[in-house]
Amino acid sequence: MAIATGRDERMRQALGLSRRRPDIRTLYARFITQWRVIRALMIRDMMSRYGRENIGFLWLIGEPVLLIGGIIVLWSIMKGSSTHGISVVTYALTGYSMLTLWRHLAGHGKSLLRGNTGLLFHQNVRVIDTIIAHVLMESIGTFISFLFCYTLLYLLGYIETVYDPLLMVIAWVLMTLFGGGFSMVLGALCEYSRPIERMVPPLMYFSLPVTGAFTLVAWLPDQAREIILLFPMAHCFEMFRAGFIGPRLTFYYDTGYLLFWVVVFCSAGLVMVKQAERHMHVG
Amino acid sequence: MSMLQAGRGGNASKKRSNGAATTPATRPHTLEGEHTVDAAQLPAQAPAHQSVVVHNLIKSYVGEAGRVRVLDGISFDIGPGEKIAVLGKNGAGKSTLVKLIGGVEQPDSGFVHRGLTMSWPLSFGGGGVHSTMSGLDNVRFIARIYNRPVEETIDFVSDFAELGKYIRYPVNTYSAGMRMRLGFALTMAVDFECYLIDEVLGVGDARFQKKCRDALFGRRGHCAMILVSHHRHTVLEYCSKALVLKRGRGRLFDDVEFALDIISTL
Repeated sequence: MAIATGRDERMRQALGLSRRRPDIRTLYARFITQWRVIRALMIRDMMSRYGRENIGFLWLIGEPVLLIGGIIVLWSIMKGSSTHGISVVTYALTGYSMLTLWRHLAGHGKSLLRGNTGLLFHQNVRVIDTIIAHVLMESIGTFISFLFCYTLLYLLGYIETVYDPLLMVIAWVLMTLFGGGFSMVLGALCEYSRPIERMVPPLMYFSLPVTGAFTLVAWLPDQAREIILLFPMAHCFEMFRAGFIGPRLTFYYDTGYLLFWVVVFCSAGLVMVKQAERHMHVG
Repeated sequence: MSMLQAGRGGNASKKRSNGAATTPATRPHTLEGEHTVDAAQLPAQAPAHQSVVVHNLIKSYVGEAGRVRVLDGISFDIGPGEKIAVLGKNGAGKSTLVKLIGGVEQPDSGFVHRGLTMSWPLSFGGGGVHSTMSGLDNVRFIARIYNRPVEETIDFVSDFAELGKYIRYPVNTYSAGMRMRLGFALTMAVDFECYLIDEVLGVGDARFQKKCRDALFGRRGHCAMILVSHHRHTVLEYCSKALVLKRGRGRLFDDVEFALDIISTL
């Protein structure tokens, strides 16, 4: 494949059609176009999913709110008001909002390439645009629903003020990037092989315990701690909770380790999506 | 005076098209006021970067019966305003070719250089239209993607497609004909330099067909076009070249009528 593209590039040059290295101004113009396209895709995504009936696109926020709220109520009944020195409401809110983000991002992976093929009819829209738009929307939507729940619970007096908002935002961004990269890798693999696609739902289900949503790493025995900290998701959850609760409890996370996996998955995802694009069969 | 100028213009263009083959020395007569123009001053006939160049496209799909090579080394190019017909039997790879040219799918090797702004392939399935959104939301989306003023585009499309109140309904409630109307109106709403038409001209009622033809060959008559069609009359009337596809191979004919005859004997 690499040889073939090299030959094509030489042929392009021979015909005087070689793609010039863009200067800063064209780069800027392209960036503007890309942003316009991504914005249009986000609006389209909202419209096609929620339409204009009743509260319309507010369901983007409403859906996770219902989920997070339901879990908070459920766990409060099941586990009492607090466990291990952390209130169940805090525990459920921090755990479940981020878990929703992770599940939405990673769970969407298999339809990442196949779901939006109709959009590729438009020159300006490339697979990567649809991915960026989707990841951005999920991330922003879920974060707003987290804020909504937080404000509501704060006003009702169930939770305290957050300790370090910046750390929480960083954790959220890193989770978005990691989830996005992971879904790209997954999407590309699904494009190559059907069996992998079948394996995704059980894999997702069994990976739930190691995400760190249902436990604080500090509560685990040493051996389990080592295992769970191999998974980058656990670092995101710990970081997010560390930002929420503060130094009152011990949290285990390694930003460097997390960043490493974010870079690995994002770059691998980009390359694999680019390759998988050649395999796609549209309409 | 103006006629004289027009005459001169005609001469100049004739000389340009003859190119280097006719030098002044070999011609017995020279016309009054005729002068030689330096070749360097003339624009190149079709600047390569302003045309669509298709080079050695290869595309194969993997299916149950193994790998099928649908296109096997297709090359041709289209200058501004040139109209080219793509002919071939069902399954010859016409639609695949159009999709590759439109950038919907990527070739295994080879490349498509798009020096003209290209429409998306306009086909039966109503490609480019999203079915869970309303017609109106589709128009807004297209307007945003192609950087067109939203309100103007809505006005144009609702006027052209004549869908009435149905434009507010989701596209998946439309009939095939209505879908086609919407798709066609959308491509007309954006100024493209090259249109990719995949057999849609024969769809819809007679009046709308005429409207489409008028729009495509009248108002947008200066645009380049790649036309997939089985309709002999349309091809003969509008196309200056024809690409005949068979078993993944393609051959370009300047004589469209000859190409049509070949197709009928294949």
